[in-house]
Amino acid sequence: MALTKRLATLDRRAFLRRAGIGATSALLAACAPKPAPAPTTPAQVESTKAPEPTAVPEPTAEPTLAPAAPVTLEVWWVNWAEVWNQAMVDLGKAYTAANPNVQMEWTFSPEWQQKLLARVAAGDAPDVTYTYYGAQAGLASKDTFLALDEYAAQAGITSTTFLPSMWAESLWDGKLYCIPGGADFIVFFYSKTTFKNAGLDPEAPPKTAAELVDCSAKILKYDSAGNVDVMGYGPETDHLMYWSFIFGGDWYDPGQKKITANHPKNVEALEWLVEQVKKVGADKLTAWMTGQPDAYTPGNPFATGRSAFLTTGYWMGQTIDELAPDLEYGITHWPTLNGTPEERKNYIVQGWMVAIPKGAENADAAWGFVKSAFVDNNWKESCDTVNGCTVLAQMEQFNKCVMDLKGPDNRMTPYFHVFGETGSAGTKYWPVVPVNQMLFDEMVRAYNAAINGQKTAQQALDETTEIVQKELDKALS
Amino acid sequence: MKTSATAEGSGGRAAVFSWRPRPVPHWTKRVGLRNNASGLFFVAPWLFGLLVFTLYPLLASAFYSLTDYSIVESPTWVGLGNYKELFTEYHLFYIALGNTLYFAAIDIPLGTVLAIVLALLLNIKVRGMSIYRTIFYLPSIVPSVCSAMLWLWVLNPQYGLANEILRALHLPALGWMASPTWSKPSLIIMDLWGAGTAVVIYLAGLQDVPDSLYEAAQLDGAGPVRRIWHITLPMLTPVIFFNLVMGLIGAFQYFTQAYVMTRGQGGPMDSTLFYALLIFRNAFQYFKMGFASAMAWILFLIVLALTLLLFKSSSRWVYYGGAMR
Repeated sequence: MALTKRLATLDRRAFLRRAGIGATSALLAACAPKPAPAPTTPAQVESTKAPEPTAVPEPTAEPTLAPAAPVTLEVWWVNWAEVWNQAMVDLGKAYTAANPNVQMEWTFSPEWQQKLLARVAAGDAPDVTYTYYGAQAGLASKDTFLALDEYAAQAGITSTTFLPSMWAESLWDGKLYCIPGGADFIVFFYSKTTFKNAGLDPEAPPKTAAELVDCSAKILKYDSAGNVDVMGYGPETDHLMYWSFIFGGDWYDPGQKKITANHPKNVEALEWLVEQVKKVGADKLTAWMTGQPDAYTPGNPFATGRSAFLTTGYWMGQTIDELAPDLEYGITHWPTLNGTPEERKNYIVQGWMVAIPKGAENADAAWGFVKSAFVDNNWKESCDTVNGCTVLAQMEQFNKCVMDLKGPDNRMTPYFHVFGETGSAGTKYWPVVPVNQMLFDEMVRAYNAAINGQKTAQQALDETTEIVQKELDKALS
Repeated sequence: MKTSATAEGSGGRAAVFSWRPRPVPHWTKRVGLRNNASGLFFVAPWLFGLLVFTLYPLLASAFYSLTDYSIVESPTWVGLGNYKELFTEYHLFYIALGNTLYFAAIDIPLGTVLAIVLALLLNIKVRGMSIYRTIFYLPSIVPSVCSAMLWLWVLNPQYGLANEILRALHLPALGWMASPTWSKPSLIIMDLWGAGTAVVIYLAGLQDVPDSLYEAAQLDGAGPVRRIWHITLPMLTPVIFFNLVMGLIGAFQYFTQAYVMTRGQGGPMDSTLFYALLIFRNAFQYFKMGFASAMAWILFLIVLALTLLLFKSSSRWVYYGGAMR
């Protein structure tokens, strides 16, 4: 009765006040940090089904990796595209099937890097994260990742386990900060249709830079408005990176800690590129590059036979199968100066890696997943996610897996060896310095300034060297 | 209760002009306090948001602008070092500032004129005017990223609609986003396409212009142009002023379309490297959050200075109906 009477006399102000208190309390409760998980006690490792054979030595004193109590690993990944994201999720499911205590929670984000920094700074780091050659050194130098040397040593992982350049890119200041996940073996796809239309032998792709220039001249055509209609070799903004190494240049001297953007061979490579751009016309080439759909989009010039070349990795085969099932194409090595196999050591082989952020709640369990998926079974992970295998001893398994998937009738099958030859020969990589993103951006600026005639190649690269060296000195001090 | 008019204790003489505040009865004090507390309680969420999501980040960025800070590591004090480097050493600072000033200097006046003209046209009483208003407003509700992708195709140098129209008129095709000369004008054109929001605001302002003024002017023999110049525009000046201030702030923060259309590169040849894009690059790609914070504060001070200039000038040209100039 007393309660009824009180409710009946409750005025609007009092009601609103009490409702506000209730709502605020509910909001604060919802925003409360989640309680810390129960500490996991490492249990004896349950071995996953290992591929056969593996050259990774048996661990001598490996830590227990699969936790006794259930954990959920938060995996932070870049957003590749739905089909490849799903492949990663399936990878996680396979690990969970073998290790039921470990569940995976995947987040795919194109802004993975920006959000990762914020999360690590906030003490809310995910357990596993994607990284790549362009960000690894910068993030590692900022104390974003856990050093993995102990884990690697206990698992018997050494510098000879992985492709040399991928291993080098996973280090910073002598420590291992990530595990190479997938390598990019960049080659030349060429359109046999376009070759035939230009009167060229479709079975004789260019092997040298000079041959590339010759056949491009025969392929290049303009329409009635003066725009490029069929393109031979059209240099892209990042091709200076590849050609500079092929010409014998380099971008960083680790001994002296000096940026060598103006290395004489880099300058020579840029001058050569400027010449090729002049043959097309800088404004016409820019209009072509800007105006065409990219290689993953229907109607792109390679798929429609209007571009002779595509510089990309083996994942493109899947896209070409979808977008241009009738296109006749071949695959060849990136042309070198003299076309010899020995020069292939100057190919760039780099890619993406997997790291454990500092502050990860389940570092041991995370390492268990990383080792299983990206070391022990790298061949399968690479095959399933359409990446290049990074573990040297698993290359044959990887090749077989890809060939089994593609089948003998696939257009890529006869050429697949080109990827393996590129990957096993290439030793070059973009400098592992904290300012490597800035170095890349300045390289692009230098390239644009040179091809547009604003600066000579020497001037442009001198400026790059000066600007980036200043930043590097600050970063290393 | 004695009032000042009937005060005693001064020799019997009544105080005529003395004033004493009336004592407040205790029950009104309690009600007043309760009112204040209730009011504060209800604005508390907003106040919380202001403090936590606006004031704290503002002060934090001011602090970080005086440090070398990479987000993950602890900040290292450098004093005014970031500011000094920006003004004396950073090779992209003046390029980005120049691009942003160029954009603002052309986009804001053009946008204002276009929006006013469209509002005047859309204020004419004809059949189907609501449909026309909807058509002109629609582009402003298209998300920025979508409109950027759309305009990439319209301005495609080889196949785009813009060059097709130019060719049909026997004019030379332009490079648009592929040309360092035409990239910023391309972005300005794209921005003008989304002028619908300003048009709606001007339309609302036009409704406030009293018809009696137009009638009186007509009686005096004023034609349409003179009526617009001497009645409509002066009456519209407060709305113009508002849109100018908002346009100024928006122009200096221009980022999304430039980022999407140039894939974050700011090309060709740094021609679309806007100030906000450079802040983003330094903060999230080069991990120089302290440096980026300094850039942000310089932007804030520039925008503040220009806005204050606009406010100061407003007394000369903004007419608030009924108020003394």
